[in-house]
Amino acid sequence: MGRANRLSRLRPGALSVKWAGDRSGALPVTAISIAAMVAGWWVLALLNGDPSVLPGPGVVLPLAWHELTQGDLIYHLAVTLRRVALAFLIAMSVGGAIGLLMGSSRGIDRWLDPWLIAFLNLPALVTIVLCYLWIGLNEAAAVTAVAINKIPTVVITIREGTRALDRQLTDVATVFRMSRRARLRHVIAPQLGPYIASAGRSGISLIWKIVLVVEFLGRSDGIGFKLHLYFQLFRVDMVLAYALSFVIVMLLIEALILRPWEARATRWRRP
Amino acid sequence: MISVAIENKRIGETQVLGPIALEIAAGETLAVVGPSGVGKTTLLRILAGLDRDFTGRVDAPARRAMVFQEPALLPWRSALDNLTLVAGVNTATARAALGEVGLGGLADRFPGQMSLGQQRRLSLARAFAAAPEVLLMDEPFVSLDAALVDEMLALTERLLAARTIATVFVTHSMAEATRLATRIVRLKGHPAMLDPSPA
Repeated sequence: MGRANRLSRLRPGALSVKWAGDRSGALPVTAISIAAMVAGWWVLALLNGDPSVLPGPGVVLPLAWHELTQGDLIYHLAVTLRRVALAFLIAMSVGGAIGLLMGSSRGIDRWLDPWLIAFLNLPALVTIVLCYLWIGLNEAAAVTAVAINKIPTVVITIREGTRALDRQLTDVATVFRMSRRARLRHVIAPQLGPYIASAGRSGISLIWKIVLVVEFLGRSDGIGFKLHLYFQLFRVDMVLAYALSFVIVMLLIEALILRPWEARATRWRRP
Repeated sequence: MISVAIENKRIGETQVLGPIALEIAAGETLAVVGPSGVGKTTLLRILAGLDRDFTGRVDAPARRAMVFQEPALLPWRSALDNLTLVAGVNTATARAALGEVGLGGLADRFPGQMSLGQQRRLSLARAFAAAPEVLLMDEPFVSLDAALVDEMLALTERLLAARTIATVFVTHSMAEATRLATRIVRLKGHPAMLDPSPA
């Protein structure tokens, strides 16, 4: 079982923020830690004394609730989430396909590697500005800019996973004449699973941050647009209300969708 | 059943296999013995169709199965799924094959939840479940303790006796070869060629 050991050493969660415990005993710790963070914020706000500079949770939380129930928080949240989802899907499928190609063929890898390094080191801001200049101030440019920022890191992770594919299992699939479909689904995909999960988890956390910048710079809706608006109005309370709501939604997505999926993908490793 | 006429096989600049001619009939179990590193596994990989980079010709039916040095199971699929998905058989056939190797109660276990001996038996069950015309075995009992080797040999003998398969069995152990094989050939030299005189 040397193969399983090699896989488990590359911890899929290592790249992204850990906020919920792996063991059930860690849950109260997480809750207390979050409570301490809110309390710290509250104390700072009290010490500062000026709600227009640092409004406390007592101001921001009711405001967020008000925006949620009577304002247009839901609308902007939905617009932003749609961009996150689109960019995520494009980045994962394009990056995954390129990563598979580069991982399985040395020739392709040699050709594309300089491109990969160039894109990997391209600052997010440059991609965003160029996309807006070349494609226009529209939805396609916004999603493209975000996807381009994420694709190189997906490529690297999936290429790594493809290179680590177990040769012996490939031989088994060949000797027993497994169909291409069965081979992809039962032999290759489970081996790439931890790598895909890792790329996905680090991907979503990168993408939702870049989406806000994209919206800030050139869209007229979305959370990033609202942040831009209230930044110009110097409304720290509204900036915090919108930012916090979005952070909570993204953390929920990670905890309720990505983590359970990752746990499922690695279920066979548990004794 | 299997007809082999290899002219040569090179790895880089080195010729590892010389001219090799072999005929293996259905129901026959041929043991290929020889020191480690001589090219036994290379020969077997050519017979399995895994290595096509050689000069010569191999005629063998497409329904082949192989038992590898390691169990080589899908660790993310249950024992039963390892048979249905890889050998391409239905659940009933897979269950029968598991029963035949004494793993009837472990159909839902993942390979990682089984002992090494059980994994070996599962690997054997997978090969036989595929109902192959040609069975290739690459040192299937290497790194097992003596008691387990004996158990596996007995099991393999029983499984082979109930079928008419052309089997090629690679081993460095003369004891395993004499017990399982109907014919023994020795692979030796550089490049390696067959020495038809047994032992």
